Amino acid sequence: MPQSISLPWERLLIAFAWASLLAAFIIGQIAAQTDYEALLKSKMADTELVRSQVNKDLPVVYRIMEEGKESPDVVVMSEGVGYGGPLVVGIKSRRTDESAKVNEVIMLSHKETPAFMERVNQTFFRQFAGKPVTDNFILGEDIDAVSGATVTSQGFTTAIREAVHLGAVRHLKLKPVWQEPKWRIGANELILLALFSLAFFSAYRRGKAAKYAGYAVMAGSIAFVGFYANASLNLGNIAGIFMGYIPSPKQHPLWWIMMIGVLGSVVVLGRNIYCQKICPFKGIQDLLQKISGIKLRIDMKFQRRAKALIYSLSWAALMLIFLSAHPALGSYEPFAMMFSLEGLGIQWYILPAAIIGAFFVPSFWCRLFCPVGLYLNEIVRFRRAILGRFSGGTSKSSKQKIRVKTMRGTGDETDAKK
Amino acid sequence: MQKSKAKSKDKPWQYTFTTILASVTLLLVIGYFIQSFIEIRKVKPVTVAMERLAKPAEKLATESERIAPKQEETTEHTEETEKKKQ
Repeated sequence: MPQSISLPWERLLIAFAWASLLAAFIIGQIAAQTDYEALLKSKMADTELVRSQVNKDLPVVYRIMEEGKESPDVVVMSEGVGYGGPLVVGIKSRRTDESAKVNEVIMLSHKETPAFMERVNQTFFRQFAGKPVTDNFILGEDIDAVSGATVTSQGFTTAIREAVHLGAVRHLKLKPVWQEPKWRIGANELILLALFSLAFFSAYRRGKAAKYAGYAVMAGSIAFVGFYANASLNLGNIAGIFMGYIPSPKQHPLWWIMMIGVLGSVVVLGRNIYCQKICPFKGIQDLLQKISGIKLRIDMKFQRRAKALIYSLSWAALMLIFLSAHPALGSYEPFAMMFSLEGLGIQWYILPAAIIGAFFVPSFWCRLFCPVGLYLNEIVRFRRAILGRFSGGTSKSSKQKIRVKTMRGTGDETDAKK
Repeated sequence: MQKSKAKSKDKPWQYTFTTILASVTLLLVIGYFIQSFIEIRKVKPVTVAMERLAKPAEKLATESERIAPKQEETTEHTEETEKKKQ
């Protein structure tokens, strides 16, 4: 929230903002408690289901009844963690003489971006049908991920695997013959680590090598973080952490590398490396600037209110996210649309507006609308203020230095120098 | 450099243009919030939360095990009937 408080009504407004966010968070968390049976009945209204008493916790098994008699079909419900938060699936399986086969995967609840889920629904779940429950169900081996939705695919695969294998052991009394997924750092993780290393090198070194490293990071972040992994940080990611939507390191090591790299650079080193070097949307904006060569200025009245504007927008976005417990519903950033070309409704118009803006104004989105950049810069300022206090207060020149350093790379250099 | 800066300062239209551009983007973001708000209204989180708060904790717990008591009833019923038969 804004630091320069002078009038009482501003204090009241800030207090109201915090109180309303807290209320929205509590309401959202209460409303989001999953009623598994209601979820299942909403999808299988005409089916008579009897809950098996073998498992009290997830994965829960429901037997399907036909005219009062037990049929060979069962539905196993399970929960996983996707990119946006928890997801719930029902796996309809049919018993065979010796084992069981997966008949159908029913998606019951998710917090993913709706446009991504359309693709997952169309292609991903089909590959599970007909597979014996003793299969491995490992992404990249016997299951293919949906391109651009790897984390979501991983979340669903993990939920399905755990449910099916536990059902096989507890209900069918089968011996586990399948392989468990191994912890491994793949090429993707190594590329992201290399990008961070190059980013730090170009940020802390000077000279030609650092300059070329900077270009390499920009190209790499657009290609890899943007188009390949679609892993740009957005407000939804930050809100998701508060709501406990944290994927396991085994399931999503990229998320952990990104978070440790971004927060580590901010908290430990006091530099916002993400906005300066890693953010692929910043890279796109810089590229557009190089192409156009036009650097229009923003009205100072507008520029001065930019911080308050971003806080107001992020308040509205967080209210929506906390109330719905759905990070994708409040994230107004056009990053996902830019790099995956998936969007819904008005989202499609925000992207061209941001691109046209970046064509004429340096770092248009970062300066006027991006909440992630503002929050990271605020953490940097906060850290320096704390360190300054411990080291006996900051002088005027060091305060100016802080301002310039935090703003560098987000297009505010000219204002900072003033 | 100084000349180009001076030139850019002399162009008031650029402020109008960038303000319009920023205002349009802002309106679109607000439009996105309205779109999301309409989506959230379908779920009615406030109503659901109030209902859940109004319900006693015990009822919430049994909600997901609605079928289980039926099975117990049937077993009790069979025991009673067996006793009667004896």
